[in-house]
Amino acid sequence: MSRDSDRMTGKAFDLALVRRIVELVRPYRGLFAAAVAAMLVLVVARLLSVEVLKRLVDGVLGPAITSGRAVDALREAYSGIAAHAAVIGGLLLGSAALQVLQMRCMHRVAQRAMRDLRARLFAHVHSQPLRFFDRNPVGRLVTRVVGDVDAMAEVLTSGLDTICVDLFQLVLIVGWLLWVDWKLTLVVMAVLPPLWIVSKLFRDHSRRAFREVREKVAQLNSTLQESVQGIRVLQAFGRERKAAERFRREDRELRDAHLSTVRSFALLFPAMDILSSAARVLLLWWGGREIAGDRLTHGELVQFVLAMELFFEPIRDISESFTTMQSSMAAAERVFSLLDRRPEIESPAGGLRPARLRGEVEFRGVTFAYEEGRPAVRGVSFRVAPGETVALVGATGAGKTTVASLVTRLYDADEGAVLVDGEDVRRFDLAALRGGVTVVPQEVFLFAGTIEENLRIGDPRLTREKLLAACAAVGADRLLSRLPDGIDTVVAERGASLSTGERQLLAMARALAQDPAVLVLDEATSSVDSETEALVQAAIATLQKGRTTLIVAHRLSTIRAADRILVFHHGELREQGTHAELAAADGIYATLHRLQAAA
Amino acid sequence: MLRPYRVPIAIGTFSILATQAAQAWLPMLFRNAVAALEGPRPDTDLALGWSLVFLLVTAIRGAFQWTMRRTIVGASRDLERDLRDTLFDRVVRQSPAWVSRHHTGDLMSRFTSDVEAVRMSVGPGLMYLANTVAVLPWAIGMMVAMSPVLAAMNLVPLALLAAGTRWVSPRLHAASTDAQEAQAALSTKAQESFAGVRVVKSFAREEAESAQFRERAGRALDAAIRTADTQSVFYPLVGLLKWLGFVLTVFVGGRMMARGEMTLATFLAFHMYATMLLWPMISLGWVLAMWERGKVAMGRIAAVLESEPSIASKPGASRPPAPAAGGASIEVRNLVVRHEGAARNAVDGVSFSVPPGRTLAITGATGSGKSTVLATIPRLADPPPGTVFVDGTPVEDWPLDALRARMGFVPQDTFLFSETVGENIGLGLAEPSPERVRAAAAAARIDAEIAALPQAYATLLGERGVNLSGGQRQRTAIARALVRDPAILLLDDCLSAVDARTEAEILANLRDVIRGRTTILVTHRAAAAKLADEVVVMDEGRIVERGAPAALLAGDGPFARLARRQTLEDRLEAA
Repeated sequence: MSRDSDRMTGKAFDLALVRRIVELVRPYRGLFAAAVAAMLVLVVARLLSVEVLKRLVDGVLGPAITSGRAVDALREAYSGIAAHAAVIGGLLLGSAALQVLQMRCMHRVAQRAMRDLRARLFAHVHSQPLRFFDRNPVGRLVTRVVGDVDAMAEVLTSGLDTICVDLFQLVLIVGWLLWVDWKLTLVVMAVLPPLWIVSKLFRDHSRRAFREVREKVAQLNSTLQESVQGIRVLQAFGRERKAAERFRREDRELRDAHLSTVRSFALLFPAMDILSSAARVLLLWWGGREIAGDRLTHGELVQFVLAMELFFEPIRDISESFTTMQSSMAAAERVFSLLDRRPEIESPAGGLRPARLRGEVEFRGVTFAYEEGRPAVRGVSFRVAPGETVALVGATGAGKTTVASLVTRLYDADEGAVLVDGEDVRRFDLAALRGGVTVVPQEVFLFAGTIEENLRIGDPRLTREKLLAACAAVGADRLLSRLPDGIDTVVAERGASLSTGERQLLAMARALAQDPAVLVLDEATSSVDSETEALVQAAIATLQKGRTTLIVAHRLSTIRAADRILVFHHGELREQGTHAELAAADGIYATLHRLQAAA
Repeated sequence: MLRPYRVPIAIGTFSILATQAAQAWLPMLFRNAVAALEGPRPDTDLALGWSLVFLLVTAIRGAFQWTMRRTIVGASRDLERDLRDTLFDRVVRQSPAWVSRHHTGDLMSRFTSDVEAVRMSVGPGLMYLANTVAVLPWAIGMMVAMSPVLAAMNLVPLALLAAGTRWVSPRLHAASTDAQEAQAALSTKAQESFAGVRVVKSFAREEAESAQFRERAGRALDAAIRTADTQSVFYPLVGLLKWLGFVLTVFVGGRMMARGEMTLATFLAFHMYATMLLWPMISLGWVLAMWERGKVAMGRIAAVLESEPSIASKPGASRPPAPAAGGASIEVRNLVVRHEGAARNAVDGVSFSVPPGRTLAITGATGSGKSTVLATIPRLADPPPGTVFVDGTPVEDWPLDALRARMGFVPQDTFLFSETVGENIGLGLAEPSPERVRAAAAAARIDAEIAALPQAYATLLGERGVNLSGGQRQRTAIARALVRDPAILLLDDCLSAVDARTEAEILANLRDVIRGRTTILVTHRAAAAKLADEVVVMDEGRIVERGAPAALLAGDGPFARLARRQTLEDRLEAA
């Protein structure tokens, strides 16, 4: 598989991951602090309610069990406890309110942090070079930005804070138990080591399982996305069933990955229950001996039984959160590994931002390979003067399109340098470079939206008049007049409702409206009919005035307007000159030419 | 919907009942253990014995719990998979027009978050609910038997919980609907923006795209917060009621013990039953949230499942008998097509017929309706009934697979899948054989270039076949159409992205390829149209000229003008 591997092999860097997640929260530290404060008060409220509860148990149950005591004495004890009733009620309501507050703050923090992360991730994906997109299916990238980030939010909303509260509660309860009878407490604590081992085992297993799940989800989404976009081909070739089979196979793999997590959880809960029952057995065994030896009262035993519940509840919560959090952690690993991927093509700090380019383009010994060992362009050197029009010709795969991509830094040269206005393209601010050099690509992609929005993509400040004028200049006005709402017509995703030729016309208008210093037409006239092509040729003739134009042409008729012709063959620049010079030279160009004439 | 999973559900339900039956014993066993310690002569051995039985029953309960989760949650994963498979089957059979109306990102979110929400509601949701239903009679029955007063006090919080649930339910529903839709919008934006990365980069639009995405992410954020706010009332409420029950039990139970109305052991057992109700109470809140989400999600899924593919075989359609002559024929009679929302007809009364083994070329300006006519023949877009005929039978009367298997189609947009080159070419074959793939590649003149790829036919193509050039993709698409050796060949502008030499090669080759096949060739190159027996020229959806290429060239119609201009251009170059 030539795709980037999606498999995670590292160990579980829990702490490092948690630290990075916490870092995302920094901009919202005010809210976060409020959530933590609410949580601390909540813990104090819990502490108090545990204390009140302890008194209740001591005061009510203790004397109640010691059956020798007089009912009068009991009544006395009760009147004192009744006074606590208000306190208990207040505490309960107060802590419920605090919990509402704490949850709301925490959710805001988590959701905002995730929104930020998502936006950062999205921008980061866009900062990657095209090479990255060649290898990473869109479906997988969408899964990262949307699904995985969602899974991460869990850490903050139902993970970290509850674990903190639970830990506090645990400490308090253990303190209470030690205070009542430290020996009995230690006996009961014997279940802790196996508890720790069990939860560690589950954590490791579920992390592996969840990693597998995230990977399979991304894979399934890629398949889905591709099938949807290639639907015409699938149907024309009767491949619906085969496509469904492939989907089913991958879907089954995802199901199996999920089942592995189900197995984890199915064992976790009974294991926790058995351990907590074991603790009760220890309690009754040791406590019974203590009672028999008159070293423990029945009241104290009851206290223990009740406190044990308060003890196991947070433990149970924590181990469940920990297991659930593995899903978030697995997602976080993927999100961060994508985020850590340095874009190979970056805008340099303080890059050049000339107000307007002069439009000189130069290649100095440029070599570039999409795949190692198979250069698409080899040792290419040429210079195009400002305002000059140069046609790049050659057979399919000769490297013409690659040359066009290198000028706008869609890819960086492996060797040599590409210069614009005498400066290496790598020294320019990327936005400034691409603002000054506009490409009409081979395959035109329109975004869902109106035609006007699509035309304005290069420069949001363009007026409607300017756009309409550009359309008229390339002959797209005829197309607009035929569409139901003209320039306001909504085009479907990828421009599916327009033909290839129509999309190309619009792309030309788009480029024209932007008025760049350098225009690169990449086989742009390829599927426009002859009539429209004649219109476009005329438009190019006016367009090329005052700017440098590189035309990637595969048909000789489209290069009449060129001052000079560069002939590429197998990635090398083999011939250059005017049409007359080249035709007379009897080289590759002349051969290409004869072929075209004979057809 | 649940029928296929009845075995695991039956086992699961049994396990739930068994779990609760085992659980019902636990407090009694514990009571016996504590009772052994009560009184003046505590019997520690007896207490230990009972507590070991207690542990054993816990283990038995654990085994049933394990079975319950494996079967029910496992079945819900199966259901999820089946639901996704069904959705996929449905989507892949929808007409291309339907698919392009739905955003890819939106469709994808139905496959992911919506399916998951449905699974949660019927899997874990049902499991928790069944648990609650199973535990209630046991626990309440035992509690009432031990102390009706204390039981009543414990049921007060339960009633309050039911009331809270009713209050939360509609609010949660509204919030989840918004959240799910905002999520879908977010997916759509990400999907489209990444798919259009070349444009985004070429126009330095990264920042503007990110701003739009951030704005949608903001909307998703608001919706998520609204859901969370509603939930944030519910969970503390559950906690509050839990503590309330605990305090009431201790307070009232203590008084009863003091009066000698209750023993210590019974008190503890009672408390354990009350605790047994806690989890089911809490899970009731979860179930509620899951069901709300599940309902919304199921609605979104059903919307896809219930939309019948507009293009499908008629029930009982059978393949028409092959024509006696062997070759296939195509006829179009007064075809009119109007795209949804368009102001005028894309195709406006087009008629032609292509006899077996003949070639028709359709030429004309961009947007004149050429590709639309072509798309009606394999029914990628449906023509009105009785207007398009293959082998003399209206296309709508053909079984869809048989109709499409009869033809090889080369679309304008040469979409290749991220599979190997060989798999892409063999796409139309049930059992792709290397020989047939190679033969098709040779016929499309792409074999030498494929052989030069690092792994030849086993070379994997990038997501959209980006590691092949435009011309190579086009020829791969032609090979893909030829591999089935179809009687009909439909070529939609197959020379659009190739250079002069490749065009000459393809044209020379096309002559062999179309021989013996009924062919329609959509093209704007006169050189290609000359290969045809008949040429029709379209403009604004109508045929404006038709005839044999030689006859048309002799005249002075649009085709002759087109051909002249193109030869002139070529001559000019040759000069």
